[in-house]
Amino acid sequence: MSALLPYPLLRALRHLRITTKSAAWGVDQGERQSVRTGSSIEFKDYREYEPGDDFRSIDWNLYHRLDRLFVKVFTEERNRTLTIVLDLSGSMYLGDPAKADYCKQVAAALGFIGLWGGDAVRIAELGPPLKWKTPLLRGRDRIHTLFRTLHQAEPGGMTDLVGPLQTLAAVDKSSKQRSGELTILISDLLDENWERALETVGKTRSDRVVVHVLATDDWMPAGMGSFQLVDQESGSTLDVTLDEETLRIFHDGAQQWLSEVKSACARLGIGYFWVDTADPVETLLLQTMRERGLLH
Amino acid sequence: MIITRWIWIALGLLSCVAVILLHRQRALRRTRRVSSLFLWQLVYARLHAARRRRRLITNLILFAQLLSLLILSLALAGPHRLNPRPVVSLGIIVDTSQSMALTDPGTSRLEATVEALKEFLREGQATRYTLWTTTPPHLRLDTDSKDQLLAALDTLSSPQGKSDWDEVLRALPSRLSHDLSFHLILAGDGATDLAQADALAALSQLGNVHLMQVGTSIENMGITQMQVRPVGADPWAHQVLVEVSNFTDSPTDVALLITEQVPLIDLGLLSEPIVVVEQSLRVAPQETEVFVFEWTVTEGAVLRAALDRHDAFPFDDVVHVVARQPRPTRVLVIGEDNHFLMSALDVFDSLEVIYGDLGTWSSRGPFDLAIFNEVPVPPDFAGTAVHFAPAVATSDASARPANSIAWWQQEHPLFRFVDWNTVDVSSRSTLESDPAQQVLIQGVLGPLMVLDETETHRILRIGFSLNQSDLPYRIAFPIFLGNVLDWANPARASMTAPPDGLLSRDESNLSQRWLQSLEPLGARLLEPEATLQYLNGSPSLAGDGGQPPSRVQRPVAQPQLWQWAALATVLLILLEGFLYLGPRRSEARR
Repeated sequence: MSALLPYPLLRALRHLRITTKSAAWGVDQGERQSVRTGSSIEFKDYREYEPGDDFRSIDWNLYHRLDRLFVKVFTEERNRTLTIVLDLSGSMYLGDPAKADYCKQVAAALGFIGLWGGDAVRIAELGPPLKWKTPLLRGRDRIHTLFRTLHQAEPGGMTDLVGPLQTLAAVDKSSKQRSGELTILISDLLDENWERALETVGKTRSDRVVVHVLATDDWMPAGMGSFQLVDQESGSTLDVTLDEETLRIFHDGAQQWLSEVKSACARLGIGYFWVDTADPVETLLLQTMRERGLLH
Repeated sequence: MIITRWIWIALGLLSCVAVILLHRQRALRRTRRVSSLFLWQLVYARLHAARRRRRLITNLILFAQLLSLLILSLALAGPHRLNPRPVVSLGIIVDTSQSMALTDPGTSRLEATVEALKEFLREGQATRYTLWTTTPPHLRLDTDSKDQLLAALDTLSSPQGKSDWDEVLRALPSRLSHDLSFHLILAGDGATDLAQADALAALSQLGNVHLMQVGTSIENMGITQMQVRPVGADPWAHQVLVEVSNFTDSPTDVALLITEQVPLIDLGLLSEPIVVVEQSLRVAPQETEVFVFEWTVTEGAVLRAALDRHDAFPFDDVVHVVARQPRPTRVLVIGEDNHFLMSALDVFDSLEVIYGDLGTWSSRGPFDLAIFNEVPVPPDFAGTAVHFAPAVATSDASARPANSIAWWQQEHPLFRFVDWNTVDVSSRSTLESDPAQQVLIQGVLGPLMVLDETETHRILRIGFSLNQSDLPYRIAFPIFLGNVLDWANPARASMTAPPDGLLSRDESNLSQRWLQSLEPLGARLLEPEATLQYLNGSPSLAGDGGQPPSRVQRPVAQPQLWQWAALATVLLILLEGFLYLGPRRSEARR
């Protein structure tokens, strides 16, 4: 179905839903909430029961008639809007796998979950300026469009977090929809204005999630010797001599920065997920995000 | 600092260049792309601090490696250190005997010796120079100036007489400085077999002894010995021995002609030579023939032995013996009269003893010996003297024990047949002795008898009064006085031999008549094998330790620095290892 996500993962993702209540994404692990959003819902379809489904949605009448378990699928009265903002700057080239590929996988998975669950999904790319890669996609039949769009997206250009996010905040402000919106920023945040960017995200009225994607080399580089470090985006250089002590100093600094990012997100009410591209994307989606309540 | 093998220095420098290039290569930076320099710049301050320390360590390692290489190269180059200031005492003994007047092609042997010494002294410095000659006066110069030494070499008198090596070598130790390295050069034509001299062995214990020999081999035939001794009841009858040696490589026929010249008393002249004996001798090569005949002497007559052969060494072709009345030894006694001294002096024949003062020394001189009995010797005294110290007051003496005899130089000629072990000294005074003076008797409190010899005077200083010892009661006393008289007038010994006053050596006019008394020992060294050609190479005080060519030469130890250099290298390598491994160790521990 897609080169971005393997089929077994897609099968697993079909049973997940996105929780859009901000309280569900508290930074504290283990806090889960299974309440569906929306006060009035419309019946949309049936589907076979799968382990983990809410018992309350089982249609017991059908069970008595067909001797099989079906659950009712409802449509919210007002569709949720899932805005996925991707950072596909030049720095996302790097990593193993590349951060850009990892980001696209996460975006595809979250978009798939949203579309499969009946949410409206749109993809934007950090510019400058903010580039809308797709319009609001609705329905499972738009999953292909989503995947194709993500597949064709190529990283490049300079990172500019603040400007595009301010544009996004302005769009959010002008939106009539007042609830049920979710903005997911997927980026490595390697920008000196990362704090301002997060503050901009924090000003949106929607629920906010940041998926912080870093390559291992970004926060825990290996290899010793004398190097001329070249910025992938700007081409600026920095001469360093790496030895064990130097690497330890850098690692400590990177850890401190990650802590600051995490603290800023908590302060701004932003759900925060930090992931290394060396970790399988399945772990992030099926374990971490479920444990943290973004998915259920 | 002297570097002997520059190739190692060159290789060391090349190695240093290689090490620097390697460090440069290691310092070349590889390009590494990163997502962003944002984080790197975030921790740049801390990285920069670490980098400065790291750079210091890297430079230290490079410095240590370069230093190690340089030190190793230096060590392999064989450096050795020359003393910045000379600590060498140089003694030079020049053979000034008659054989040194022999003219080799171009120059006499003495002149050649002086030139060789000047060449040797051309570079380098010694702290002390002493110049000795084998003929009296033996000590010619004792100075710290090389210029004075060179000047003294130029003023060496014409060679004459016979070498007295034993006397020189005996007097030499009194001029040694014990804090200096002593080098002695024996310069001459080798007409003395020093290898057989006991004194040479003693000298080699004091320092380095070098032989500097000049001269060329000659075809020589000469009279190597002429002895006259009384025989029979007639005191005028003598037996004469003439020894003729052939130093050539072929048998040689030679005519020995012995003549006598009788003094014409009225005219004050000598008569025409009268042939006493004419003898033909055939001497095998390297052999000696002895001819003996009897001769009744006439007072004042001159007996002449001559070979009818003239070679390059004519001095041993003619020998004279003069029979004449000897001159008595004149002794002036100054100071307190002493019964024992007067009695002892009366024992000796041919002795003219005069009691007086210093004015007598000049007005009635010359004297062979002055005896200063308990009166001081004037500082400007010139001549030969014996000084008996005055008695020390009893009150002063009670504070200290007697200065009894601890040891004495038994081999010294002044102590011939004298046993000082039987002599008790009650004096408690000691003599002041400077290093230039030779201590003959050492007491438990200090020197008791010293010999003060300079160019102008010879003074035997005795540190006790005759009244404060039992010396006058001992048989050693007259023997000792006899030795002193012999020392003051060496010709006295031959004069006392019977028949009394009959034979003597006339040394007043050697250019006309002189007694050639070449010892076989000396003449043998004129053989081609023993007489070296001119010096091999040009010796010098400077360069390579300044060692002249030598037969008897002790290797001069030179301080070796390479051990210290190697040790320093090991320490540096250890330091380098620590710098490399230390941080990793601590990291692993952490």
